Amino acid sequence: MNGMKRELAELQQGLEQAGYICDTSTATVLYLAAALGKPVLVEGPAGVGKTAIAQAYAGFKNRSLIRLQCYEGIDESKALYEWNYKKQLLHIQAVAGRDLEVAEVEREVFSDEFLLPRPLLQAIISPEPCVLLIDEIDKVDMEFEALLLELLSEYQVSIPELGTVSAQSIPLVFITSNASRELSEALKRRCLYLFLDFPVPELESRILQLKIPGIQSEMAGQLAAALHSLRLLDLKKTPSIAEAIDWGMALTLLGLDTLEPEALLSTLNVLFKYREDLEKARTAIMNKQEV
Amino acid sequence: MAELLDNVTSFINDLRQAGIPIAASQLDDCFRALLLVDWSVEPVFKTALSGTLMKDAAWLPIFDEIYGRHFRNWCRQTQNARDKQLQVMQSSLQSKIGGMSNQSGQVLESGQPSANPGACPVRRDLSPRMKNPITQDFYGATWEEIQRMETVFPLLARRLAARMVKKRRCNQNARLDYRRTMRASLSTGGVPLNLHVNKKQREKPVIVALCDVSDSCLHYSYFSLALVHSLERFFRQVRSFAFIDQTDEVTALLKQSNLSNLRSQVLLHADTVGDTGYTDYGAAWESFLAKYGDCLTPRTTLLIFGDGRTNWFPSRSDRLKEIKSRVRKVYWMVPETEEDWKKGDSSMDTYRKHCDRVFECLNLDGLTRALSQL
Repeated sequence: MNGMKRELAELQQGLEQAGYICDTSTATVLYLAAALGKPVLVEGPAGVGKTAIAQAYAGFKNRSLIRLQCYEGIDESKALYEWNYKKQLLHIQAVAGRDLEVAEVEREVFSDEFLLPRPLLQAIISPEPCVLLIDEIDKVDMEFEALLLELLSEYQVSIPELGTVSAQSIPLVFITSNASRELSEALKRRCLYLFLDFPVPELESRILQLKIPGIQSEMAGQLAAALHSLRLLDLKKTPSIAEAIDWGMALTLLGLDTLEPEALLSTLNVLFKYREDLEKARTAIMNKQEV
Repeated sequence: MAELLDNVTSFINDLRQAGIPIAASQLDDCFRALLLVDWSVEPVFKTALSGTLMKDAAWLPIFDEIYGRHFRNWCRQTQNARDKQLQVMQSSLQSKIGGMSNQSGQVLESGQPSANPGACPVRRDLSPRMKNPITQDFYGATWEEIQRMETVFPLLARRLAARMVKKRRCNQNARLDYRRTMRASLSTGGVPLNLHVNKKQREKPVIVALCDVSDSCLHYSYFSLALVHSLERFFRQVRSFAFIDQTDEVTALLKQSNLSNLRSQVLLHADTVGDTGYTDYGAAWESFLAKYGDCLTPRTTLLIFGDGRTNWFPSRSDRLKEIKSRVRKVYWMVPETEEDWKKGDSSMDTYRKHCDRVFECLNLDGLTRALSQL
């Protein structure tokens, strides 16, 4: 049991060195995913670090990150594999002069050198362990989800002409979703669930200190506290961590050491992207003077 | 220490009773994960449970509540445990892993000790049964139950939206445009390589929602207004009105507020109370036609949410007939069962003659299903 504590601490430190600070629960889910060999379904508000965690993990474990960006209408040929038709046609033309058997030509044409592997197949055939990131899966349709299901349960792909290709080492799969629609139950069952929410002020202050070079720790603490109160307002789009980092950088560039109300008010448009949100934040700050 | 194990099993039982779907394979994963982690660190233990059992963010508040009930004295319990006892528990967990999924959750679902002597008996749940907020009836729901319904509301709104998208896509049965295909085939040597289709343009309806906000169907009306508004992008336009015995437009209020403060906003700002303050459908139709009659066009679909109880005032169903003649369709969603429509002061029997379809929507599930048929 103590070994597990040590491993969790190592994982958190390693992720921090790779540029990502997370809490114990997140580290636990990553640890369990690696131990159980299950994919991780990451959900949460926009900008909270869902993609960043996959990148940091790949950096920490020194593995290659293979990324599949999903969109509506993505199909097998863009995600799994595609045959290089042009090269195949050229090859057939080239051997047309020689007297070869049809079966021989077919075998040559449907071989590994004419196969274009797309991200999912790349992750399966990769000789070293890798990290597979499937981004924004809520944008795809049902047929693609069924394809993914088969892949995620067996980690093998069957190509009609070549046969079944199994993974030599199981990749760690991260699936991110903005929760704009319901994912199928079967897919959710196969994954471990990780909900990334906005961090507590102490954690956020550490994140700001890590990401913004040259920021004072007192300033980071003030920023984190201000962000915490601003997020409690009823906003159309809550400021995310990425926007918070931009805000911190803007304030550091202006040469400020502590947070004053005027500085806060004048740089609010880095945080808020809607006019109503901007107004609400302004009134809240002027009423409360919460800094 | 066997109590800890019992606690975990009854915890899973409670989660299922609260409506969270947990499959048998998830139990396997849960126990495997518990074997791998250190139980004395609370966040780690909680994450091992939530990572394997929870699959949706909307259920997280319910999970937290049930977790708090079961594992409140966590630190005390684990500190008292000695390594030997933990090992005993681990080995019994190990034996459970295969067995649980084989029995397909028999032990857990029945809530009674099973006949299998190897399985550990499940402790009877002493706390009151938590009802699933989706299938819980609006009528007679307590304040906490309404709060829970509000928590799962976004989940339902998303599911309904997904269903509407799927419906819209399936209904695009395109027909082959023969003439255009043959003309295009001329460029490919007479072979029709490119098929041209006539895409059927399904017109988006204009929705007018009319809602009874009196005490008799208090929560129902707000959930239905919020749900209709969440489907805004599937319709050309959505306008909402609230009435008790006078009608007022609440579209702007709906845009500004969210579900929790909708009630107070409507009561404060909307002008729904006329002469008597008691629900009067006849007066409501009258004021609706007088003030907002121009929004009723042949493209409009009218949705009425209410129980049809007019407090013995005259039903004035001729006004409803007038309204129906002006719009495309009239749908009425009633929060009562059909037998109740004949009892008491309900005029549903008279009103239903002037509606295209009448739906029974006793709970959130029924409401979602009725709306998905629009």
